[in-house]
Amino acid sequence: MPIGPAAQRSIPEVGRIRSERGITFVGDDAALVDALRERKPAAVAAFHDRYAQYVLRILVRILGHDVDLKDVHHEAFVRALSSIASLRDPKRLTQWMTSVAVLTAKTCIQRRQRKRWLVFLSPSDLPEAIGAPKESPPEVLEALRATYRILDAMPTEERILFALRYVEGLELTELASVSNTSLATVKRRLSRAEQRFAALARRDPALRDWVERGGRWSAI
Amino acid sequence: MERNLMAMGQLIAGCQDEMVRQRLDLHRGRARLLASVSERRDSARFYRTLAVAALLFSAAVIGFWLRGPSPGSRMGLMASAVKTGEWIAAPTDGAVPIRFTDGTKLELLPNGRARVTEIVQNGATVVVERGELRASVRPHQGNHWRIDVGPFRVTVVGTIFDVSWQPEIERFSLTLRKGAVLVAGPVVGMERAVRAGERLDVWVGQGELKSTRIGAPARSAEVSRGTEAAPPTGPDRSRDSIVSGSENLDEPASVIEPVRPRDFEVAGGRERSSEPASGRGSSRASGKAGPSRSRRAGVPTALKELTSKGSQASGPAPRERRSDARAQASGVIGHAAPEPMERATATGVSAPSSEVDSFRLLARANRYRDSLAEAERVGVAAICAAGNASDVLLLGDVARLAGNEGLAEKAYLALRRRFVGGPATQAAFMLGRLAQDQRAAYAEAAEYFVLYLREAPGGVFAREAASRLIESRMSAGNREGAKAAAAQYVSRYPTGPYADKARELLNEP
Repeated sequence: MPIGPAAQRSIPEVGRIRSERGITFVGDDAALVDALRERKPAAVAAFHDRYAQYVLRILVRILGHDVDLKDVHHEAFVRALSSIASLRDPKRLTQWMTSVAVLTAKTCIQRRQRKRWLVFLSPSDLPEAIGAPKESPPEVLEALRATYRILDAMPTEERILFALRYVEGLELTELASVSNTSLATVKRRLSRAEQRFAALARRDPALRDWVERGGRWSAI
Repeated sequence: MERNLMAMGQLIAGCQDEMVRQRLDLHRGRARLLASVSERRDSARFYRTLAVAALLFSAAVIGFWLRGPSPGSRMGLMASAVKTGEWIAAPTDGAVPIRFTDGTKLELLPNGRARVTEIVQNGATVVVERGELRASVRPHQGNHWRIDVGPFRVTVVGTIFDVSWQPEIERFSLTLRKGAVLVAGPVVGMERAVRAGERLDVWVGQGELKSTRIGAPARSAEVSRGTEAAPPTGPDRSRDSIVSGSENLDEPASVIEPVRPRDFEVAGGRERSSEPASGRGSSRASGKAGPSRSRRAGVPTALKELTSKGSQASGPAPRERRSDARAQASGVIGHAAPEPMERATATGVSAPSSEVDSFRLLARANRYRDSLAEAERVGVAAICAAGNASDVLLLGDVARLAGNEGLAEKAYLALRRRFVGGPATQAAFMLGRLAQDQRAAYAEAAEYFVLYLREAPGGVFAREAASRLIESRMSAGNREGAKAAAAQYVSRYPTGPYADKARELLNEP
């Protein structure tokens, strides 16, 4: 099923879950947040179901691959519940949850980097980039792998901004909001990230065409 | 440049979104989160409770010793910090004592979860959701003690026993040291007396029951399942889940025979013969029908001996069977025993065990489409017709997760036709889900959920089945039925994720 840009950036509607059948919460975001603060199971379940797919998507955009993705996904929700008291404006629940997911992904990247000091893996031993359905053309699979190989080599902040901007499609103002930085800082870091990515991508046969000519398979 | 990068990003996102859709497991993720929230809450509460309980227990013991129990005295919990209806969670490193004023002592072992749901004049009802409970029930005339352990009910007269339930692997164990109890539940049937010195183990998933004498010499099969000497102290995580098709389940121990539940309903008296050519003599009437011990050990554990006659190996096409399922679902789907051995050994193409192993391994690695491809090489009709219960269930799950709902339904229906309990019960829930989510056949879905709840009232999907029953009845226009289901949900799961919604429905005119 083709996924268009609009659906790619869909944010969960208030109170409804789009994906697999989930538990809905009857009440507005303020009521949900209050109930979460009291750890009411119904609210916790509905909160999970509302954001599960979205959080998984954000994590995959940033991390690309992780053998512990389920654990990281769970960690994001545990972190959210632990810090729900810090959410002052319930209307910003979705933006806040995005920033929790981003922070969780960042922690995961830092953990991975620490492990790399201990375990020396050749690139061929690294896990396959996930998110590659079997029916995807080989060029697409290779572009996917190459993208995350390059992102793995980039500084964490630039990597996160690049993934959220170009893969998830967030606007600059949204990026500033979820990364808790100013718009000017986001623009500066993103510009550096683009240049770094482009320089590395030009050396990669799987991505050269994309960077220079926009690719050969734009209609998928 | 920016436009080029955006275009590349959209392509990558398209691939990833498909993967996200496939990998998302709402149910498991939700359950895991709820469990972690509950553990954190219970851990903080436990220490407060323990301190208060210890103080009150000491005071009550002294009072008890001075006064002595009297049969007519009002039954009560001795630790007032443990309230009726409230969950009691034992931490990892300690047990929780529960004492009653009549002298009955219970002890919830580490990692266990239980609650006292009712206290009456001469007894109480305790629900054990998971883990092990040690019980020493004071014998009195007219005792009314009941312990609900997962889907099992233990009625107690005056006994000392240990009972445990491991929901992850659907295993029930009861070791009776003194007195007698009656056990009812899946596989066991309506009532089975257990005597002092007896240990009863039930593996609901396999439909197997084992009864041994405490202290009897261990036989080879028993050794593989753990020792007789010490009762389990917690969930046995070494035994893999049925859903994942563990190799352990492929080789049922030779000393264990599948036991048919004696008192379950059978639609129109319809039963499939399970008698092998050996003519062992176990009769269906006695409720102990099943393949002989030697035959059971010879059931094809890999799919080596399976047959395939191309795509027509056995069974009609899914669409034809759907009407059967509807007819069956309106009553109780008959419990079918495994296919006769003759069919399983008819001529045809054999499947190399490596392909079967690949099918299972790929499924466990969440590579559902690849796993399905392997299953198709083996022959899905052959798996449905002659595979063991865990493989047929695995096929259904793999097909469902790979998006082939038609094949998933076929596998689940085959499971229902051929087996009793465990995977076949789980298949009822899955069929309900498919009917509800994929085909919008709400009335049919509701019937499957009723079936599941009847067969496994404490099963791993019981709570979700109970909430889906409410929704499917509402969607089918059966408001009164939905309200009845909502009342049952609230009664059984007062703090469940659907409880608020169920209460709203009950409050509606």
